Amino acid sequence: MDGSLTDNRDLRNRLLLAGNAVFSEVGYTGATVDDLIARASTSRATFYRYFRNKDDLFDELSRACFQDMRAIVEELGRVRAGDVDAAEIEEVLTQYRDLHARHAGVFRAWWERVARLDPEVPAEEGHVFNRLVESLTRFVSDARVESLVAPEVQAALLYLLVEGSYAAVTSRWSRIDPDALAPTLARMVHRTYLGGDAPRRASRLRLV
Amino acid sequence: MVNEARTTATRPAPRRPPRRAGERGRSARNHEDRWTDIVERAGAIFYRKGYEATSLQDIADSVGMLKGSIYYYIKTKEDLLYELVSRAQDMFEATLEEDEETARSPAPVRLRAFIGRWMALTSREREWGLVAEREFMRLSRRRLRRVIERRDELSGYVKDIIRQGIDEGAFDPTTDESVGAAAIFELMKTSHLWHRPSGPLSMAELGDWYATFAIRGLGGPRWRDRDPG
Repeated sequence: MDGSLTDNRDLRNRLLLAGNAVFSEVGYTGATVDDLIARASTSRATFYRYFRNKDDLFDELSRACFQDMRAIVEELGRVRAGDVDAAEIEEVLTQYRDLHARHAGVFRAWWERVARLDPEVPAEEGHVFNRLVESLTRFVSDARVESLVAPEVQAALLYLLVEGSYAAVTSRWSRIDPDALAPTLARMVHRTYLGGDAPRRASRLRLV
Repeated sequence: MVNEARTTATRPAPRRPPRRAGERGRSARNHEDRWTDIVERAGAIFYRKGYEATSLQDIADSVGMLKGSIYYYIKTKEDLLYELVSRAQDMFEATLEEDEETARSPAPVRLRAFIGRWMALTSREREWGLVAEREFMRLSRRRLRRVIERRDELSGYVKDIIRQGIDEGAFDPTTDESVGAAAIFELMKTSHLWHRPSGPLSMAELGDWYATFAIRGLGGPRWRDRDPG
């Protein structure tokens, strides 16, 4: 029935797509192999021909997601605080949003783990996120905003802000227009770190 | 007062100890105390083990009662989660109250004061805040809807402040106030996911940075530059 190579790939892909959809809807913990099979309209036998279990399928989704993410992180690494405008920040945020939409299941599962303080967030994810925070730290340090909060903590918070906002906006109970997110967040980040359209002098920040 | 009435109304009524209007008897008070004890201990266990991994047996053991007796107060474990989330929401709704002077102040001042109140409470009520935030989405659809409505009321308050700031010329008029409010709440709510009370940074200092980010990000310092004092 699915003897040819193309068919095999199709089935495998179908299971992966089903996995992403199911994980994004019910979360990683809540999803069962039966859910994945039902969504892909295939059989248990077929599932186990391609994957050992739910984890195995998730790992593959996860790898694809973090490969895409690395591309964005590398781009972010090239951004320097001195010569970036709000539109460029918005562009990065929009790319990140597309990434979120493509890999919704992985993000939901990852967020579940972070929220439960699961120490076993896989190494690769940890690595990409560390790189992301490093890039942001450079950006924050370049901007020289005075604060008691260390640049790397500010960077991690910026990341959590973006991640949390996307999670909030894409959740099924949100009434926020997803298209409004990137422009407003980009302007907020830009104004905080680069003074926005205010004179450069005003980028010195007083903690009151 | 309003909050109290609301909590009472949303409690799992059918299994509650029967009470007549005006009853102030000792047994009614004992039931109240017992109930609060159960909720508080459940909160502590959910915090430590997570909601899913906690059994009613764990909670009964912690309170020192038989599992069967817990069914006098609740039908399901979810009833406890709902009670906890509702009580946490009551507490956080109290941060919407401003003193008269703050209420008359410009938007950046009101926003900074609100973030300060919220973070002070987060620091005091670390466990409940975390449990409520981490687990509320496990509630049943009907209860979840109620919880979301109350969250929307909270964010409505911040949206109003942002609108006030736009009207005053302090904040960027192109700001989407829903996004601005969501960003502020996301920042505040991530705090208990990672903040360590023993670390070098206090919740108050962290809150100060949130306020700075929010006000500056929305355009506030320009207002301050124009009109210092």
